[in-house]
Amino acid sequence: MGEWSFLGDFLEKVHKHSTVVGKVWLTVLFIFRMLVLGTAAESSWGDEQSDFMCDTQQPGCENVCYDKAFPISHVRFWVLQIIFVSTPSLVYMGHAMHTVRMEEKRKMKEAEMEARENKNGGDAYYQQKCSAAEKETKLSGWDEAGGQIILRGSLLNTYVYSILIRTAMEVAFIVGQYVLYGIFLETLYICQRAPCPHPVNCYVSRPTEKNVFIVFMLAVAVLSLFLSLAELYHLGWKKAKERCSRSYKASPSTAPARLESAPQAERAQMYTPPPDFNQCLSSPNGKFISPFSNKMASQQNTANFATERVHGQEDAAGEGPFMKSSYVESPEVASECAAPAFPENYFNEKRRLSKASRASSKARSDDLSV
Amino acid sequence: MDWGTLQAVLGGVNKHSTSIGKIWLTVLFIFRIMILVVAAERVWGDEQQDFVCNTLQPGCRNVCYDHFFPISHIRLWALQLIFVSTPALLVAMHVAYRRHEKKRRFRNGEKIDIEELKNEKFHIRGPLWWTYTSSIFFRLIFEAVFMYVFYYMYDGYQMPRLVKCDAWPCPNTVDCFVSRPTEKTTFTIFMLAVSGICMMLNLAELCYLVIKICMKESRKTT
Repeated sequence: MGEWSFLGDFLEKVHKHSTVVGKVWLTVLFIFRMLVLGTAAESSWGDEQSDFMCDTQQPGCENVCYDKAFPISHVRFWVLQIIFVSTPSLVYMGHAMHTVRMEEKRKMKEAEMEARENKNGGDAYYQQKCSAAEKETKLSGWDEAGGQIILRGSLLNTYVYSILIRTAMEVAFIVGQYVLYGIFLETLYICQRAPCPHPVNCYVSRPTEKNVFIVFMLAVAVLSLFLSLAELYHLGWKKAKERCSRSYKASPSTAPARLESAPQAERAQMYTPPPDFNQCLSSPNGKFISPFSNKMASQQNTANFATERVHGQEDAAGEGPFMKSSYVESPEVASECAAPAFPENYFNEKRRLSKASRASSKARSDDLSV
Repeated sequence: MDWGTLQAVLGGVNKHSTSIGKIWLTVLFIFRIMILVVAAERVWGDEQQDFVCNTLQPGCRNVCYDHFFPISHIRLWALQLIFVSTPALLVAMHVAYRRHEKKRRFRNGEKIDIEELKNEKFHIRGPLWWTYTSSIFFRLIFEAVFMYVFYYMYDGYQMPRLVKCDAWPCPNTVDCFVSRPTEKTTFTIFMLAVSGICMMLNLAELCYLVIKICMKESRKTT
């Protein structure tokens, strides 16, 4: 299993940031495929050529008959299958890390811009905040305690595509295995190929044991395929449900205050508005508190999302993000020092939020004072 | 062959690479080193034992095998991977040197946060840019050279099933049969394809770095 550690390490990271079904799929991959392949199947196929016997004395006949019977050994085929099936997850992982990195860079730039402007403005409190914010943004957004990404927008698309490609690869390899070998291995293989002088009986080594493993690996591949399809269905169903609820324009009382990333949140993310000002001002002793590492702000955020959802139903964001993997990390973290140049939409949202001040637990009068 | 050490060293370089560099490193570890260790070594494992010649002449088989396989594919790939990874060590050394300089300044009384020093990520600018770019350039050269060596040594990338050998002490032209030719051809083509992908990634990274520095220079002058 040590040889699989290269891939294993990468997949561990993917494991942290997958959905529940994704985690099950990864576990199946690790235990039923990699481990079984590395320990049991390898030793079963170990003597596949040395014990491949042909009923002939003709030198070279056994070699060519073995080559004809097994163009690629089952074990190598499964190794390639595992690698190709894992690759889309790595692509998703790469995209996720790239997103996080871009977010960090953007936040740092915003913080720098704010610091520069505050140099002229001269508000000491904001300067302090900005330097603290800068430091916070330098923290890796990926590995904060319990920090995970929330699937939305293009990242969600990448996730879905990765599952689709994974499914396609599984199907391709299952079909490929059937085309190459059929399902079961026969004990006797009749071979007619130069330099064999005539059709020659060749006997495969350990056919029954190999058949057991072939069936096992085939079953696990089919199980993985079903898990991938289930994940797709789960994602697609949630997306359709979200679209339906959006199209019926639910009333405010029935709108669930879920943290399942409302489309407004996604659009909000696109315009990158900073969190509310009252979060800047609410800390009692002026110390910087990372908003998503304390419950109070997290609840505030929940309320914010609820009000955004309620008042922005008409906004048709293309792909409503409907997947959450965690509540902890959100791209709108830590850029407390808002850039003064807000896009127009943001002010609309702000007005909407202050209208719905009843829905949030925080006093909203502070907004206007700024 | 213990590739874990290489992984440990290159993991450190990963922090200071561009995004393309990180992708290259992932491709290197998963599609090349892992395939080599897990699959290819087994395929070539019995290459001499199962190299069969149609003769009873003692020594003929040995000589013919040596004639047709001067250096085994597996060993060539291992050498290729080592040579291709080595330029990254230049970058690692440069980064270590800069850290060392910073530590020296800290010891001489300048105020530097020691914790930050350990985790500091150096941006690819100035002398580090030159080191990094030359490392990519050397990587490209090594990849190309090894691909050519493979082509030259084995007359193309396909493993023949039958080779005709008349080296001494074989009494006449003798038929020799290679073990698992189809599987070997499959893996040779696979490794070739991945080499090609790595070369393209390196080219892309080189272009990206050059364009970035040109844009920076033009911004400075305007």
